[in-house]
Amino acid sequence: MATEEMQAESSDAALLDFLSSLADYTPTIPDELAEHYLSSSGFQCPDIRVTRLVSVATQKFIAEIAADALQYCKMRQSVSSKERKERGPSVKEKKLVMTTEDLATALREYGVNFKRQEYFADSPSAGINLPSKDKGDE
Amino acid sequence: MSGLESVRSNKDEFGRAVAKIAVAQIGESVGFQSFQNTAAETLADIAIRYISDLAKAAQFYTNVARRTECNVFDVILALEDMVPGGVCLDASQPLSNSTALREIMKYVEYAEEVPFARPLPHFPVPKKRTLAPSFAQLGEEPPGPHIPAWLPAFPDPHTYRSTPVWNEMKSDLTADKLEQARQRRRAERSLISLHQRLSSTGDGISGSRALFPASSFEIPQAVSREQESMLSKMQDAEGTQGKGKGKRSTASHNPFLSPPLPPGAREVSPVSFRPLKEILAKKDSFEQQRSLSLLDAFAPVLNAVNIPSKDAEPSKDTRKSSVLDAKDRPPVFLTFDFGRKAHSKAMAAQLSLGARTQNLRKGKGKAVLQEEDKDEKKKRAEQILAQADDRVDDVNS
Repeated sequence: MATEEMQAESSDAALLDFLSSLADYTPTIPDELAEHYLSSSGFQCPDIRVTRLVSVATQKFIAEIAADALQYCKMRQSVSSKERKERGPSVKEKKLVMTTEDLATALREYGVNFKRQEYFADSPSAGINLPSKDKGDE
Repeated sequence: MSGLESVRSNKDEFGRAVAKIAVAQIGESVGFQSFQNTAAETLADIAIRYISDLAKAAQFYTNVARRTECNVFDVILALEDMVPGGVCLDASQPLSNSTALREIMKYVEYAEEVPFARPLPHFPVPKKRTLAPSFAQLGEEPPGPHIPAWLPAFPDPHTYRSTPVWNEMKSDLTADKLEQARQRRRAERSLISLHQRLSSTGDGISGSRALFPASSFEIPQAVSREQESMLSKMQDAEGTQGKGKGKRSTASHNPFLSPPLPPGAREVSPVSFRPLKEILAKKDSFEQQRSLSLLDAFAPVLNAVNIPSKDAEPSKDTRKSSVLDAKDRPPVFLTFDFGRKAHSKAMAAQLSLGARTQNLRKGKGKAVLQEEDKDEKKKRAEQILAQADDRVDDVNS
């Protein structure tokens, strides 16, 4: 019981410290934006630290998704070994672009189904007769 | 985009744009160098949705705890709901032990602080509405005792009812015409005074000069009076008063309708036929020119021509004129005009011919030339006046 109380006190102290540190921290998501969407959803809080907590939480969430997408992007880059042979040492200089494909794959783990039309065809029979035609991304 | 319910709203574009920028900055801090547009927009939508869900959950917990203002603990509880695969909290453990919170604390510690790129105003900016003025502000009395004065005033009746637009410009046509006549008279008077000034420099026959200005004054006045009488006749259809006035005015003032004077009642200067050269030598008066005949208008031509003219009267032979041979003669253009404009045209012709005579008479003395110059200048001025006169007469008619 005593340990639990001590634990509780320490965690409370940690929380207090964290909150005070939040006052100095500037999250990437601006306060005005967070306040706008919080107020439109009914969230009322005069304390700026609570708002900052929300924006920090969102920032962490987005950063996790972006990191996962980056992983997929790098995986795609390192797959093609043929390119490595062609270009030699200059393979790693490719730009890191977040594509919708990478994002869709990353979001699937978070429970968000982000599916896009792969290609647009004029009619159901288009592209069948030409076997050499690849499925182009649109 | 089947998973996300992203409804495009026009009002929210600013918020979305700001979220897009924030998300791109987060991605940049993670390691990405560029974004696909669709990917950035999607991620911005997700961020906005996340904030909204957090807010909803936190507010729910607040309301459940019989409060209206949110707490940090409400937010922690909401976070516990949102974290994917998060550890469920026991009732025994204090909230500050929550894993979600700890994870966030770790994130704050280790992640770089990347502030937002641009300064933002507090949005949404409220629109300033101009309220309708109340009865008290306008100083109007509200119709009826049941309406308090602090309520906004009723709109003006012309906004909902078609009130007649009255035309206050029921113009007095007759008054306008009188005014017009008055202005014309003023113009005539000024012109006549100009005539007088020009003619006063010449000697002329004193009698004729005395006559003419007087008559010239009288005539326009008579004309104007005649106009007035006619107008008064038109104006007063009713009553014999107007008519009587008109009759009286015409009878007494119009010299054209007045009975002729008995002979000898007025002194009239005798008409004298002077030789043309004498007339030309002196500075002509405007009135004298009027009494000259048509042939006299061509006098300079005849003077220039050395050959005695075949059609000329024998009296012309007495005049000292140098006439050129037939082959050297300048051609004579005859135009026949009648009416008022004949005189002004004759003057113009005279002037133009006078210029030619100057060229022919180069050899003669300077004094003669100077005199003729003055004559021509005079003639030019008189010609302009004659034209103006014609125009005034036109206006009058």
